[in-house]
Amino acid sequence: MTDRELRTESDVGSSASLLTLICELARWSHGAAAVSVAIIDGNGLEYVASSGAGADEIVGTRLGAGEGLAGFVAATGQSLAVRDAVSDPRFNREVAERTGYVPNAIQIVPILDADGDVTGVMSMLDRGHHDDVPNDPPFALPGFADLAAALLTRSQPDGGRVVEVARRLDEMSSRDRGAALTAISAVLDAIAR
Amino acid sequence: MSADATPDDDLPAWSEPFHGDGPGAAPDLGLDHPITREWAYGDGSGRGVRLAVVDSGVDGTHPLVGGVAEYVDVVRDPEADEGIRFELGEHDDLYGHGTACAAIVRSLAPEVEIVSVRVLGADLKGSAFNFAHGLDWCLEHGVRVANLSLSTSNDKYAETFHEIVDDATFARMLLVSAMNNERKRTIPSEYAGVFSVACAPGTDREQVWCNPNGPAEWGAAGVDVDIAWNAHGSITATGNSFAAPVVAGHLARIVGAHPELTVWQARTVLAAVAANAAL
Repeated sequence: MTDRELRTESDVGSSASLLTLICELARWSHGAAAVSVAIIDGNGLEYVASSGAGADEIVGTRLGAGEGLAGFVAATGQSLAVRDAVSDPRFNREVAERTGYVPNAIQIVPILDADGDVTGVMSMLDRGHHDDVPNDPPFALPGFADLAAALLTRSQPDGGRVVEVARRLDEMSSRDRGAALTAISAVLDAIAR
Repeated sequence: MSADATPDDDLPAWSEPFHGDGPGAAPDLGLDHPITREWAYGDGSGRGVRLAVVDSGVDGTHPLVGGVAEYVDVVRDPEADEGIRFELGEHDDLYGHGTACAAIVRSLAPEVEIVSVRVLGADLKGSAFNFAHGLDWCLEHGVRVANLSLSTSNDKYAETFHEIVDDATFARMLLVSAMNNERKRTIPSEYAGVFSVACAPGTDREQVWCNPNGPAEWGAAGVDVDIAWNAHGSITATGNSFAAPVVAGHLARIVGAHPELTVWQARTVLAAVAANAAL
């Protein structure tokens, strides 16, 4: 049995702005007050992206292991929906008050890496807080968590190799690039068969 | 009898078969003298049954838990044999999750011997590794029923847990495993060798539903249920995690009354006393 590998902070940092966009899309889709992403860093969680109420304040906040509802989801890998959050003993009021927004309802889902291990959590505060929402959200919250997972996975070492290959293709003459793409396509086709 | 609750978009995944029209009839052996709850459960105490709560630890002092017979903490240690160390002695519950499960079991089988096997601790990394070793410990220490209100989605562990489930089956250790609350891989819950559990309607812990089509084979109360939590408190929560220990409690009664039952025999008896038996 082997342990999973964790990304480095710099990997995540390069994806933070795209993660923020995913949070923004999730928040808009569900009319939520806020959506955030926290990733496991060492033995705690760090909020790396957020959209909505308290977004500026929550990013950079760290939670120790076992702290708050997010810590619970990170540890157990089980999603959680709490309607009356402030009365829940797992709720970390101190963090909420620091952001200037104390929610009523919270939904938190795990973000899984390519191996299926928990790599972070996505939290949504007060779904339906805004009336101006689409009739059919593109995803439920777990779907947005999958998007975030895909983005975070892309920033792992294999993703870096893809970027490197793309850079080298860009540097080639158009004739060489055409030949290289033909060769790569043939290899991909062979693997796909 | 049919399930009577209205379908709910917020239900944990895999719970749908138990709602709406329900899962249909449980398998019927057509016996001249059907298995009764009185025969199946005996005195219903779970006496003599060693039941492990493999989770975040258990607060044995919580009034609804009523004591823990043995504690073991499964700790990662690169210096130790196989990278894992087993620490005996009382521990706490960092999250409250294991305490909730233990209290549910206790409410159904008051004399069961609860063993807390802590695999979810302060270390957020590699919990599947601890989980697998926790089950190995159970196999080697006479556990008869193990409640697993956790699972992994990590494919790398698929074979490891397959072997553990097979070993448990032939060692007559009943593994009760909550399905993931999301529709993702859920190891070992999705394996046929475990008692896989999702949420059924209502809050009555005396009701267990059988869904012969799986992969969530058993349904029990887990939606908006009152559960024990940290600091001797309680909360109202929803999750397949809280349905699994209901099934574990029923199985503790069954093997308490019939200590020699194999895993497949226990499965047959539980189906015979399910809420949807002999429709």
